[in-house]
Amino acid sequence: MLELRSLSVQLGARRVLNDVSFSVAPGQLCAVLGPNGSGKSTLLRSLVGLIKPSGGEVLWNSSPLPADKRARARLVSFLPQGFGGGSDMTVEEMAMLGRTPHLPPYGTPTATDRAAVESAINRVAPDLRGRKLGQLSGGQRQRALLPRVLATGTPVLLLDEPVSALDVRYQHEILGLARQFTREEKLVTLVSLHGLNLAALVADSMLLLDSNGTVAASGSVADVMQAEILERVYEMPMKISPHPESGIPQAQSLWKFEE
Amino acid sequence: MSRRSLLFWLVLVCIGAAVFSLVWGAPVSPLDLGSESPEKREVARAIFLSLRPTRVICALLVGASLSVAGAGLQTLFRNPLAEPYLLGISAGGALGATLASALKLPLLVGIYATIPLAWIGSVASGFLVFTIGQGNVSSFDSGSRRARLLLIGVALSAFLSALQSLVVALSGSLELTQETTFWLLGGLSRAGTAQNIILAVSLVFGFLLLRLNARDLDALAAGDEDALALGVDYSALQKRVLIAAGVLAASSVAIAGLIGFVGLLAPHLVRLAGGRDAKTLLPGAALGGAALLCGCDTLAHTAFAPIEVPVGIFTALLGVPLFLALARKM
Repeated sequence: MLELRSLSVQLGARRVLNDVSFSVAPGQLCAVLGPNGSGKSTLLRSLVGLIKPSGGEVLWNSSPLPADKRARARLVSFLPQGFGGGSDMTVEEMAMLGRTPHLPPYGTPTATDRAAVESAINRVAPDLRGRKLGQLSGGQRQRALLPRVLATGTPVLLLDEPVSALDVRYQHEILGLARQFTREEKLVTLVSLHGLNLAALVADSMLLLDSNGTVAASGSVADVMQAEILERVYEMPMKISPHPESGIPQAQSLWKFEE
Repeated sequence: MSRRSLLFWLVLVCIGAAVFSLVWGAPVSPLDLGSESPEKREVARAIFLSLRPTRVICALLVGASLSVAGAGLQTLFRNPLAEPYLLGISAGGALGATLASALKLPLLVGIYATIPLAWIGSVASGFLVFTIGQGNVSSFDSGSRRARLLLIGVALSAFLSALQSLVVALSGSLELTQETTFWLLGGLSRAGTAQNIILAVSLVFGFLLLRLNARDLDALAAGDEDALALGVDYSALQKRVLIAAGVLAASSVAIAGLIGFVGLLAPHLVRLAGGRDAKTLLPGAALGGAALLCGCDTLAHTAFAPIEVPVGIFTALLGVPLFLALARKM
């Protein structure tokens, strides 16, 4: 169980996250939602240790996350927003970097490391084997980065806006994969997203932040996908209606465009 | 090309360059070592068993040092144009060495005075470039950060060279003026056994320091944030790379002056041949740089014989076109 207790983050003069508390159980995919600047990325980055929280604590199975960088990276893996680099790397080379926290800084990968990389690629990108990341389309590249976070073999997985630059089909494909391996491996997965409706379809739970970085709502999809909550957070009129097939709540915009 | 075959070919190239440099353009032939005339034998002995081997070893060590420093800096900054000469790290070493000569430190004479101060100068200017180049940490626009780093390096180089000139002018020493001219032009005419031992020790130190962090250096290629999330201690890694590159560049500068672009050329060629991971790149760059500088030095003292031209001229003639080609792609 991953548990956040009153987590706060201060960046310069600005308090980006305010007293955030919630928990996610293994096997659950939690969608982190909120307007631009609400602190979604900051939340994920503070969980992986890239930002030092100014208050509160993060617990994994009731004990604090280790301060040692390598030890923490063996517990929490993180895929940052956008493409950091490595366009001349193959999918296998990129996936092998996921084993970095398990190897000493001078080490050579062992059979265990190669097996972890193989199985991660087989799960999500078998068709991209041997391809260089720079040669792939945006959607393929996002899928090609997943083996890296899977190969680390951490119980906690954080994906920062993994689908924001992708077309609608790839959005479903990537999040579908994330949900699948979250359930199969009993992972705790946090995914920051902009699309409310896709999040509702794929997530087991939701955490909605408002523009002050405080929790506006959290819990099940039905708890969060409510018109009055979303209207307050996004400052626009909305209506909730059930998905025609699954019945899952979906948000419709009632924005009035100028004629 | 596989790692083994790439390194195997580079070893052959290196041996070839060394042998070529030993015999090419010599006034006598190596066969004269077995000559019946004692005079000829004496000359051949002096050239092939003392003068030339010392100089060839010096060229190999300086070339390897500069290339390994370049490979480390390029990986750290994720910038193919990073190089000790262009980043002002060499200029820092030259200033340190000049100060050592000008101050006439007690107990320390000659090479033993210049080397430690050159190390300090290079490492300090490395940290300075890095600290200023980081700028606003929250900006993740890596393109502008790369360009900024090089601009800072160029400006810092100019600043340090000005300080060096000031030290020379204030010292009023003719000897120091000659020394400075030598440093600015760069050359291997001062090769000697003591110098080679110092170069070898600092090469082993710098190479091992980088090699022991090869996996973390590889992780940087995925992006700064990605590497941090993979558990890489970025600030510790950065310090190690800057110290390694500083020591490597400083020893080279103190002994052979400012030789530019070797640290750019050799790692680039090794990467082109498929050696992108640090485990291949570091030894590949060392071998490639050694062969390259050895070849350039042979040209420098034979192309316009009997005039010997500074070797830095040849490395710049080869390096600048590559720099321009890479800069266009950036």
